Amino acid sequence: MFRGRAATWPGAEPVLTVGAGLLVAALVLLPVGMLLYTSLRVEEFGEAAYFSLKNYTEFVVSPRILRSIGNTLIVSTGATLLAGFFGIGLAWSHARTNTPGRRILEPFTLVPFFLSPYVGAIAWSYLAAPRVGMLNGWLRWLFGLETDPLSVYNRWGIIWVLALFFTPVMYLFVIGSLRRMDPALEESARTSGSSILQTTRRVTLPLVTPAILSGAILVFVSSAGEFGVPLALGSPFKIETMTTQIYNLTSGSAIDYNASAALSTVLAALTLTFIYIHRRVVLPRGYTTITGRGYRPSLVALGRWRYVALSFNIAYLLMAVILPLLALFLVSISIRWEGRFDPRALTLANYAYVFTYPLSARAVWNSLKLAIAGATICMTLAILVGYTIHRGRGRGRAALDVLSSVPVGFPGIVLAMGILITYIRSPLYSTLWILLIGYITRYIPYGQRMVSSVLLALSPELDQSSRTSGASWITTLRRITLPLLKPGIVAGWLLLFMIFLREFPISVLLYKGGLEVLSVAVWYFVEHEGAVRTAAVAMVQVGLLLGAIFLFRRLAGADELAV
Amino acid sequence: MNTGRRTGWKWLAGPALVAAAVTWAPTGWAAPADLARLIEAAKQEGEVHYIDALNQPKTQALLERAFRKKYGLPDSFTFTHTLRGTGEVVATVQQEIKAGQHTIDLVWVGAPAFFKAAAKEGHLLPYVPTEWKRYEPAAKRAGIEVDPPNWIAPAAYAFVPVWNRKCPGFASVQIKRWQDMLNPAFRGKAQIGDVRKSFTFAATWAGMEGTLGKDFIPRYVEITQPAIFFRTEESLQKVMSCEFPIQLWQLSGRVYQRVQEDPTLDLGVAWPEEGVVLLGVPMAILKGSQRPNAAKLLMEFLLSEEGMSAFITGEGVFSLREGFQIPAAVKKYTPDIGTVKAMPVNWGALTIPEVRRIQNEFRKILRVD
Repeated sequence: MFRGRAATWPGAEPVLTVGAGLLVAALVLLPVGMLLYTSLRVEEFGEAAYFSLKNYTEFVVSPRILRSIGNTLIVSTGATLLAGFFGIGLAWSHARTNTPGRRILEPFTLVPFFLSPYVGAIAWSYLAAPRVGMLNGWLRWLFGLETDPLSVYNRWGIIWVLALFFTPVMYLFVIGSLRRMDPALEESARTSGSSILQTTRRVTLPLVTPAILSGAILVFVSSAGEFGVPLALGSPFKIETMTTQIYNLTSGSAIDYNASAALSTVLAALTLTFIYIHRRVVLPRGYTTITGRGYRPSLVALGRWRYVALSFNIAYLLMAVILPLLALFLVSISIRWEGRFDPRALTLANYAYVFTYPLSARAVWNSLKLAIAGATICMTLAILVGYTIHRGRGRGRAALDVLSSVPVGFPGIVLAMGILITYIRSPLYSTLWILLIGYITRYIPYGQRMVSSVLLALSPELDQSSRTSGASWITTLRRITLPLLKPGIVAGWLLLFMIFLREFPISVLLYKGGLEVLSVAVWYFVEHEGAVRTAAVAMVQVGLLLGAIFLFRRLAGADELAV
Repeated sequence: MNTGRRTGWKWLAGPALVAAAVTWAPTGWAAPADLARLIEAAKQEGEVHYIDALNQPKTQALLERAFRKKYGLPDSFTFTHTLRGTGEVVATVQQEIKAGQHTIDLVWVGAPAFFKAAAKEGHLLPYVPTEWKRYEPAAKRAGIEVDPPNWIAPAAYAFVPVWNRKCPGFASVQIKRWQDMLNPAFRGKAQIGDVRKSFTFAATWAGMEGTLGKDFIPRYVEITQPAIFFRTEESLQKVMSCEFPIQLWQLSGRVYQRVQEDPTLDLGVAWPEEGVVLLGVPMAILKGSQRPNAAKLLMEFLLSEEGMSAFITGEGVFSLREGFQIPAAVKKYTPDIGTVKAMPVNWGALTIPEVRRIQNEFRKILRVD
């Protein structure tokens, strides 16, 4: 009955597409608008509020905030350069050289993309903290050193961890460009007498420059908006960034939402400027190297250097995946953690604690519920919005395209701030719904991008043929469009599922007692429990994410992440 | 005559009782006879939610068990506890007050400045538990600020130096006075609490400035170059792992808790000769509470013998209850409050602007943003 009605309901298309468009507009515009509004207000607890630019003219330009802006720029620039070094090197060695084992290494290179940088920072503190870091211990023992050679509790530490975890972003941009490149250009250079290095410098690099710039901008923006890493490695050691200051202003004893909103607006302006530059300046500069004829990019024979390239790959995987996960695992099975792994003092009690302690047990379920519901709702909206943008005929499609992309430019903690002040007076406050809204608002561009990339590759004639044959819009969507979109939908759903499982900045700002999620549980354990239990709850999150990665590759295929 | 005298006594008894009640009971005082009705009303409400900065999960489990048992609360009754840092507790409650969205019924946190401001604005529900009279004398003697019926403080704690004797170079460390913390050997190995995020650290700072002089903390910072940690649990972990083996401000109760879990720990706790800043832990019911009867019942419980016993057994802090028997295991780390020398603090002057001034001073001295 219902199916029959839906199949013939003539108003389904405008209702669903316009409804989805309006919903996305509301989800994005409300928090952004409230953020701006709040930043222009001055409200003291128990005193009358008034409009003022004071939050900008006095607070944002105060020396301590300017220093945190400076720190943000330093760590973001450093992370971008280092991630560029790793990402370009790895992409080149995988796509264009005869590095041994590159096909096996490639999927592992992407693993940090799916893990939580916050957990990575905690793991690196077990590795390279002064006095108790495992690596410090090994290096002291190996070289007979008196002092610790490593410390992650400084700007370098933050840069290091950010770079390791954002390298896959750079890698994905560059490897896509390298694989699409016509090898004839390089071959011409080589036959004209250029060496490998000269060819790489004069031909290959200039051709992938737009991809490198795209990757660099995304890494810079992501690093500037990253909250967990500076929270773990910077805040206790006098290094505050814009995101930690935004959090301090909403959680410390000197709570000031207005100042926090002003700082959030400044951070959003910074990241949006880079996104704008990317769209207006970098994207139009993409060099077309795809020709009509089929080809496979030629591989550069590295000779003995191929083992250097292999070592480079293994070194990255060691630092970004193996060592951090090993450190977490060893700490998680230790009875106590005093900087040295003691095989005589092992236990699984930390895991038992994580699964029986109400907060962490609840966090696992809340995370799974939010990840499943969030990914499903987000992809449903993404399908409708993507369809409206690429297949619709109504006005406002361009505006919807821009609106649904805007959240990419907003760091999680900034958007969370807007969502908090928007929904605080609604019944959604202090429920899982506010977290769900936060997740969907922030990550709808990811889902929409996944759907759009498939939609753009499909000819609209398929839909049109179905409609001219008498099928309704719903029937066409159900029988033609959705089956063709399936790979994009599955890949998008799994990607969002993983992102939501590890989401931290939105969750930490919006959660309330009883609404903890996994990343909040990790943070809670850092503050309230010992290192061993923290490592155990972090390992539970890592385990779930690795399981999801496995599923992702099985269901979506290896190429779904290609940029 | 006798009959007449008896009649006269009875005639006087009613007004005398009323007079006594008016004299001794501030507004909102719960008479014992009301307790049965309170229990029933709480059962009807079906839930209570309190937020604090102290109670660890084990303590909460002890409290919940005892609370249910004492009042025969059914399994369907939900007892929710949120644990946050002091600043975060205040921020969360302020957030709910501003939004008019109340999920929290009772707030219990060492931030008297917040309670003063909230009482002034009428955000607190006046209520004084029947057992408060057993606490008030000790609170007065310790100089702990309270304002019944708006807010009371049945417990207290103090931040004291703590170190790990098992860490290299710390086996023979002795801290008798605060001045002993000014030791160049502690450079790069010491910690300080994050005054920016905590009322209680700010109050401790104010008290120590008054007694030890304004240059004590700057000298400690200059000599030891401490790392800054906010949560006492996290910072004690850093002591236990030898990452930062000594700290200026830790709760002795946290040491007690960790030693209960792992008796092989060898942690030093000092109660310096110059005294400590005694920090009352105020509690109040929020006026917007959706479950005021359950909140009142919880307050009654927390001040009862059973409630206080569960709380002190769990947290190892000071109880202000007269005649309370401190468990021997707790006493090893947290002495009887009567034996502790309290540094004077002008609580009246410790307003929110003053706390912000101290926090800015902290930023300046620590060169931190």
